[in-house]
Amino acid sequence: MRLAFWPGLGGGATSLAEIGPVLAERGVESVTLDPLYGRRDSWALELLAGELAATGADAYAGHSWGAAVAARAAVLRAPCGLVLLDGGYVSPAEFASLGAPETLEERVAEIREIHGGYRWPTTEAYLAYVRSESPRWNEAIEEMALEGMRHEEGEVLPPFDADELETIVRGYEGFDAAATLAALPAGLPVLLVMATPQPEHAASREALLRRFTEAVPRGTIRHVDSPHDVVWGLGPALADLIVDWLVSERLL
Amino acid sequence: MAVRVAIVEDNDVFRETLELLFGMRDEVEVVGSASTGDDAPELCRRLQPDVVLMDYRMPGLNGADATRAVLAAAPSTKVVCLTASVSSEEVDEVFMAGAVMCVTKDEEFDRLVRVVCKAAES
Repeated sequence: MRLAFWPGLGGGATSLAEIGPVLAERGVESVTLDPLYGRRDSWALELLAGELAATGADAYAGHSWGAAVAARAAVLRAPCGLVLLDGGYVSPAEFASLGAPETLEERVAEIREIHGGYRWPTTEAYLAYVRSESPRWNEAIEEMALEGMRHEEGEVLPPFDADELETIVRGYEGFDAAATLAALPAGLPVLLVMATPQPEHAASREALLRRFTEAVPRGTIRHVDSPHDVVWGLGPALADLIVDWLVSERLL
Repeated sequence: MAVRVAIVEDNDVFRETLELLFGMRDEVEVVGSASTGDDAPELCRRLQPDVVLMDYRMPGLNGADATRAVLAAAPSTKVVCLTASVSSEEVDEVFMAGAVMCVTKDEEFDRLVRVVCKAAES
């Protein structure tokens, strides 16, 4: 069983460095696609999805923005299973119901402002910040954290500049979750892993999950105690969750 | 009848993705591809595609030079140039070379299909 993974925004080729070996031990060979920040001419979601589909993997997976890529890939070329990690079930146009600004332009302005605050004078300062934000810490997580940054003019910065980030956000904006879920191959097993919700948005999220359940007859929702980045938050436990689901769906 | 398209693009991932996505559309048939501008004229002489989707920045012949060479080898072929930006002198250069349309690489794929079909009719 080969599983191709598209990371969440900011994640890179080592995103599954911690859980990949656990997946492999249980019979799932994972390949993480490198988003190629700073080296890509197009961030159109359909083209990213095409790359994931072109791997010919048995199953696709993605986190957050990457889950949207994985869902579109499943529409392009049917896998035997699809794993959505806290994403892919909601359109960016619906983010306002989950606490994001109402319009795309407001979201772009907000994300550029946040991006502007992500700068550290040294690698040590950056790692200290990430460690303070991380629910867990080990060497593999440190490796992932280091990959997720670049050095420029004496500062430690995100892997993409603000303009590229804006281009990615605008490319994501066209993702229509309802239409995508409706267009998935009939009978496709889909695992949706949901992170811990913010209490004030629980009702909106429930409505979105009902829509997922109605659109995906063979869908499974697993609620986990984790921040939005469930790969980071759960670590090896996520690998077990995914493999257990693959086994339960007789895909492995 | 599907528009016969050749893709000239040095980025392997991008080229293969385009081949995959076009392969899923009835309006378009990818008949061949090349990874350098140098290979494009021979490819087009042999296949005589309706449309060539041509990257601009490539090793060897750039998009403009490759466009001239392709049109010499396959005069009825229409060239659509793919660029990373729209506001460069490169765009003028490819039109001067004979390209009929120019699109940026970050276009939605549906629009890319429409552009290819329209180019074939031009």
